[in-house]
Amino acid sequence: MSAPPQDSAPPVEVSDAHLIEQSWRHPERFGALFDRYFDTVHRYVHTRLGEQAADDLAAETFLRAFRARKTYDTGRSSARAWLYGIASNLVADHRRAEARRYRALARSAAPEDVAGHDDLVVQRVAAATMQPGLAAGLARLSAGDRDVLLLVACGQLSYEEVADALGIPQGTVGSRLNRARKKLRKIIGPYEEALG
Amino acid sequence: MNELQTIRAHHDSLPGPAPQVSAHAWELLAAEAEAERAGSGSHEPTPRRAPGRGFGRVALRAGVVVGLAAAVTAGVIVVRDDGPSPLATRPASAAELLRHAAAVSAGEDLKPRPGQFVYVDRKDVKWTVGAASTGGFEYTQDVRREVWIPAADPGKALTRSTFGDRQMISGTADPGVQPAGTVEYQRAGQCHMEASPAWSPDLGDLPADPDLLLAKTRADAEAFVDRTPPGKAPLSTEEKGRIVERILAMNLVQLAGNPFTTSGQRAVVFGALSKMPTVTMVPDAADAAGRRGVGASIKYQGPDGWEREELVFEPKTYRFLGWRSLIEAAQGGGRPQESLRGGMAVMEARIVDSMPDAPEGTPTFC
Repeated sequence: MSAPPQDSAPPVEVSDAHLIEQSWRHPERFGALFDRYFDTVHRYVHTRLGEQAADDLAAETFLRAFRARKTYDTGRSSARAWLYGIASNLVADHRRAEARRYRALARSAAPEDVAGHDDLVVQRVAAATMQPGLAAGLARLSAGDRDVLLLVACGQLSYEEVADALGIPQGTVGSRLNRARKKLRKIIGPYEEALG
Repeated sequence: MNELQTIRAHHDSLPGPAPQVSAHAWELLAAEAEAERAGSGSHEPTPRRAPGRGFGRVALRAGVVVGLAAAVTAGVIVVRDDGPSPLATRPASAAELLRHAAAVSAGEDLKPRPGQFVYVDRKDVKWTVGAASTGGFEYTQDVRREVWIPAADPGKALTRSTFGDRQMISGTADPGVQPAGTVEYQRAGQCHMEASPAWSPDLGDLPADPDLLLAKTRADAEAFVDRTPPGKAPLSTEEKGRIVERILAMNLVQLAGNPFTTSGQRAVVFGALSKMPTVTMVPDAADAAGRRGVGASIKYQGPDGWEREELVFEPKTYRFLGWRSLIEAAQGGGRPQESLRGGMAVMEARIVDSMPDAPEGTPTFC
């Protein structure tokens, strides 16, 4: 087999911090940040509040970030934690809706009940349906513990990044995460075993 | 699987935002950027909308949204230069370019009323190779294709082809077909060979999710390759893989250029292409009509060497201009040279109230 195709224009990796700094004078540069993270932020909010709310809040996250860009600490190369933090603050305004959603999901049908004629669609719907046990567990966590747990699980943020995102000490991140995981394990453990 | 992995798996399984959602979010941000530039940037919290779909704020602020959305007016899509978009920034990669293009396409669907037609005017470059008694020949020919698609029944579309000059690539034989100036009409389903990509009921069943579309197109290509004709030796895994990549690229590009594909579906196609690791960016590309743009190229191995499909986008608005198909030919001692194997440029798409009556007669190849 011949050599693989050559990229005619190798992507130029500009750091988020550099983009944001450029956007102070050239607002259009902020568009690149949108391209990098809109899907990520949308998926995070979708996990917590559902798709419809994610459509609104992901857009709102970027509007708020754009307005606050001049306060961004350009010593932080990646803007991921910053954006997750803004999104988490917006989710916080919907605490009750989030808990309601998890409770509803906990009562909903298990993935095995999903029916359809297209295997791919079935797989996708099944995967997108939260396990009732997991939803029940998330509903019972405190808001602060849930923030930390979901930023670590969904955003794959480090303790330091979660601390930045939520404006709390790193030690608090660790203790909240431990507490959340223990509580969740108690609830979803038997469910997972039951699924075999 | 522990609890963190379980959550992560659920998170990863969720579909990304629909293209129109990304497009609207982009428009909001563009409006904010434009407002700031104009000195009236909002520093107030954005009023939250009541639950439910819709983008009321977009409509309220449409007056300051320029660039990306400005070319879609009164049901007409014309590729033109509206000046820089407030958020126009050179994409860092082909994937970013295609995501831009998907967002733009998602926002520009033409919606004809019953009794109306979508009219698409395009320039095709047709590549032909063949043999005559006097020897082999290879040429390209420009063809203007106009397509009228009835809103009520796309299966009754009409295509008018106006043939232009031929450019001989090799050989001198005159194949004796459609000289410049020939005009032919073709009704959908009239001929075995369609003048332009045909309407198919399958178009209505295209997945609305880029990942699913990519998976489906790949599965279709694999199923095709697995059907070894009787009497032929089975293909090796490597051969199959090469053919699958070729069919995958060609089918997605054809889908993007198909006049029956809606703008929303085209957005999904661009989204699917953005997920292919073999797609690269071409900063200075040209469509079949010679318009300069920025391109996304998909390279694959064909039977005679490397080939690639190139989608071309307007460099400021990221609106889809068209595509070109190219093949690399080895040149003695020098760099490989590419030659054109066909292409298409969308010149205009709009809603019209009537379509011409097709005269009697059948096209040359029918």
